[in-house]
Amino acid sequence: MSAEQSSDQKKLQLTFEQKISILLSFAKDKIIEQIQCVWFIILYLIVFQVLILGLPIVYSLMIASGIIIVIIGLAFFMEGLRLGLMPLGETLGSTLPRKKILGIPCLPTSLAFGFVLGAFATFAEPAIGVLRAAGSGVDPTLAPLLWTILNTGAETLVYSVGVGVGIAVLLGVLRFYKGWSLKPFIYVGVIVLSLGTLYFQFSDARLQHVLGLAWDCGAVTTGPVTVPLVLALGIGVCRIVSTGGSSNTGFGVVTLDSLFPILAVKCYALYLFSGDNYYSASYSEAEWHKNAGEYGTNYNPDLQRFGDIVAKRRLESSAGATGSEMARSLSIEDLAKVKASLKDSGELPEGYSLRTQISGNSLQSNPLNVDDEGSRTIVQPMNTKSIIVRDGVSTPEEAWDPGTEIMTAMTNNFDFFPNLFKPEEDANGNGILDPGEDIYSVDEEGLISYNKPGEEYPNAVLDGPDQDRGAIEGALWAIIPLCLILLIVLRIGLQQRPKHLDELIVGIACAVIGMGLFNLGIALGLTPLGEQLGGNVVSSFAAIEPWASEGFVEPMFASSTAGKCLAILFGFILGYGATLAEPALNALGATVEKITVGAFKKNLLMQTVATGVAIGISTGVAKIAFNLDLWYLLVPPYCILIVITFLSSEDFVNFGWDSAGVTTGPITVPLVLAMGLGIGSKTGAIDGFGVLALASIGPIITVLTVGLIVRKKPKPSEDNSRIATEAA
Amino acid sequence: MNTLIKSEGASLLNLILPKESVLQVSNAVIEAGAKGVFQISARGSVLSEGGFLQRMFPPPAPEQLLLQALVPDDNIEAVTSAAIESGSLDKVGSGAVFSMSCNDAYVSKAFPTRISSDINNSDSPAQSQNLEAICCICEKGIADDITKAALQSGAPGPTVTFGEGGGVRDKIPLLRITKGPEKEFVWCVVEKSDADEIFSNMARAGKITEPGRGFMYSIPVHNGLINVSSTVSSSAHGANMEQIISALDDIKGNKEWRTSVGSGKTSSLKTTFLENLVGLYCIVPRDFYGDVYDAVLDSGAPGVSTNFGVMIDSDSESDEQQQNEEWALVYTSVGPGSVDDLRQNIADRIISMDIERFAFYTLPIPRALTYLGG
Repeated sequence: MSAEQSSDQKKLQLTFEQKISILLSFAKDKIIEQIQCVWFIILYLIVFQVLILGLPIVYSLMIASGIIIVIIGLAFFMEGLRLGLMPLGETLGSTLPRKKILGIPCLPTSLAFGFVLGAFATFAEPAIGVLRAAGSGVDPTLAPLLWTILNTGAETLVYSVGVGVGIAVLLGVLRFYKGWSLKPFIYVGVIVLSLGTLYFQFSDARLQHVLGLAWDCGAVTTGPVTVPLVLALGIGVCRIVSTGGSSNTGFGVVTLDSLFPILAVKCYALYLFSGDNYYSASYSEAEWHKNAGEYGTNYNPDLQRFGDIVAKRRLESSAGATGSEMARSLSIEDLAKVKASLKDSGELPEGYSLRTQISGNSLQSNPLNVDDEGSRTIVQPMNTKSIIVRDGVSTPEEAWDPGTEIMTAMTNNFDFFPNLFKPEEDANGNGILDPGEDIYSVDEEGLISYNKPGEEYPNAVLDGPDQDRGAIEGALWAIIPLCLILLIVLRIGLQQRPKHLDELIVGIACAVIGMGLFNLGIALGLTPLGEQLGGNVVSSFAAIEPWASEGFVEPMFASSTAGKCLAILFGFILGYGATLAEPALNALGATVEKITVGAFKKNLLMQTVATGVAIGISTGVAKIAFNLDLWYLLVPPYCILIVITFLSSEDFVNFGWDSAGVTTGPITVPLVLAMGLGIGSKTGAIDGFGVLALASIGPIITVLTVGLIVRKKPKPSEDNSRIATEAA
Repeated sequence: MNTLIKSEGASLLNLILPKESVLQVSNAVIEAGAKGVFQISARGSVLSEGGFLQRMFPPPAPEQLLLQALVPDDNIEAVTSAAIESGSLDKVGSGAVFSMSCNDAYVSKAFPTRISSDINNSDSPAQSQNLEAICCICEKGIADDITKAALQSGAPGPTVTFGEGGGVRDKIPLLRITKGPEKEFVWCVVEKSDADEIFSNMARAGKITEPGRGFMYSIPVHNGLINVSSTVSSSAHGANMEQIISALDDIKGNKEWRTSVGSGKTSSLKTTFLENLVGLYCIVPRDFYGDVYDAVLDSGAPGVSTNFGVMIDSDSESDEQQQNEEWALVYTSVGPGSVDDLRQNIADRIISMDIERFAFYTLPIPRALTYLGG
């Protein structure tokens, strides 16, 4: 304890064993921490599958290793957040308002920076790809507008969502500077969105199908990288600019982040709709070929042809369905009946129908002339399956590919810049497709020809944005560009040297490694488990063929209502468990705890949010199971929310609404979507969307309610009792 | 050149206030002559009396703010009573005000304060030390155990703040990432007669004497009025426990009855205290905090801890945008012999870094407790 001590031994020398033992005990703590987050949901999924549904777990070894990878990945990622991303965001946020960049005052630069950050974060986060994958099964003849947006319009969809998020972050930052309350933003936002929803619901059936997608987009844009970064930035800014009576503490940006993309998607849908630029609704399944050539007024010919192909495949395969394909969905007696009927009349017997399943957007291409490298190719959608089903029964969605190879999942061959997908139709504008130009077209035999420059024909695929990114690639994309922007602005724009650059770099590296492992683990472990269960949980009220197995399972309950209730209960616990494991929610909880100096515990917030998500998801399952309209379930809760928001205190409003945005992350989304689609395919719902949107409302309601309960101040003592502690 | 103004007649005014009354009280205090009021966010601690619902959803601890200011000795009475007046601090659960008299204080010219070398009445008013402040710097997450122990042994409303700290950690090159710098600070002010017991109970609850847990010390308090709320009543009770206790106090006319109950227990810790240390505090703008932190460690202090806060009455330039000015309070404790050298070292470093506004002050620490190696 003397001053002379230790000045000469500035750095402690540790032996190698000591270093290892420090690292090991540290790693052990972190892993145990993550196991505490994850064990519940995993145990629950397994118990439900094995004990309640009585079905075996397929690919159990791979799933187990996937889960271990998820846990290690999460541990790395959370360390990365703590050491790298969050300090970086906060340092930047607290420096930005005080310094000028290139002589421009701080406010405009902060706003511009906010916009860029928001937009970039959206392109970087892979979650939108999940929605696209989910939407690839949409039938173009039933929901043409939705199909258009998800397939050929997917790129624009991502851009409009990106712009929406950018504006949201911009407004969020502006709000901090001006000290505005979040409440007016919520009122206006919710009212505009509700009116929009009602309009979409009642004006046209084609618009109606887009609703689910729009609301889900709002929920998925805020992923595990964006949320902590935006939160940290906001907190940094508020440390400086929030003075005196303003109670802004840095929350609230995530809220706007989830409201604006909904608006953006609705605008985009309206734009396409009013311009008649979508796969025309006039093509019904039966008459598409009769009307070939008559397209909508402002049609995009590409789009039209691609839609035709999909629709045509549906018809063609009715005749071409092979015995094994039928057998997948029919019992032996059914099979005999169908075969007899097809033989006699060439038509399906009463009570049976044809279903198309499209999974993925891969196209199969065969060159017309094998010897000529430049020749046109015939391209067909690869993963279309037509299945004869007994009404009310169908096979579970099989979007997950069991043949996934680990190395491919890790890297996806490092196919960078997948966002730059652009079918350049007729690039030189001469009206003819020259070799090397990129287009799909229908040849005289009715097959689509696909030609894209710079690609080997057999491997040419119709690639949309990023749903096929490999795990590491996705992680790099999500983290590195954002961090680079932040570091460059901090170092060059603001001339500020971060205090511990080495820690930051270790942190960012941890975040990349963690995110990569996490993505991989989800692909190997959680997604297959979730999809099995999502497909199988339906067996509680409908007969199914279990996921990736042979044979049939009869419904558990004779009454389908009881079975559906079991599915709803399943959704409830699934939502609860999955939410507790979400990394973004962990980050939000830790931040809330830090900002309130521990007054509002992370655990309380997480439990409240998880309960809310559970309520939301079970409502969503009910929506799909009973095929309710989405607006019944969206508009009234939001009206209730406006009332509760009005009653609540500003800080609870801020992080209550923020928690809605963070709940739908990489763990919840695949599990919930798989279940939604699985149940949707059994009950005849056109799309399984909307569950996520409902999962976002739940936590807001619960957090605000808990806020109202716990903030009941103890009444100020009326009597003038003085505790005279004053020293004499 | 930047010379330091030395003063031996300064006191450190501390206010613990609920969030609602901060604006009002700080204005009153500033009007009464305090300057350079440093504000740290804090949370109070509560013992829950509630039933099932409160156990399911534990109520968030009340958000509080800890205000500190260096005030000249001859002004302290006026400032204190202004604070009591404006915040009705004599009511139950309304907050606390207490002051500690500094050994000495050094401020730079540009530092916002009223302290000057003229005031040197080291014959401070009758030191009626009935109170003692206990401060515990501990690893993040332990503070709840410590506050609970403090509350149960009778300390009124321990207050927790967040900060950073280090020492050994900063001497390890990159492996320091395995131990975060986050620390929690528990502050509470107790009657001197209870202080020993509370001190050792807190130390035991926080396992302060084990390696890597924390550091704990006490400071004599000059005078004070402590009315921090520390219970959340369930609505089933008509009056809350604090009201009942204060009523009993009135009836008995003193507080002796409180201690008589558990007096049988022996609670001394079997350990050696560090005695007669000096706490050296340094206030600098947050931008320079990293440099000062390093300077303190380089100058040979065994450990450093820091609280961050906002100087609420800094001379805000009339910008288009009013902005907070963030400051850091860097603390270390050393033996009385080496404090002057240490301060000189740090001051030299600070001046060589062109930091204009900073201040030092020292407080006596009669005893402290931490892991002592071995």
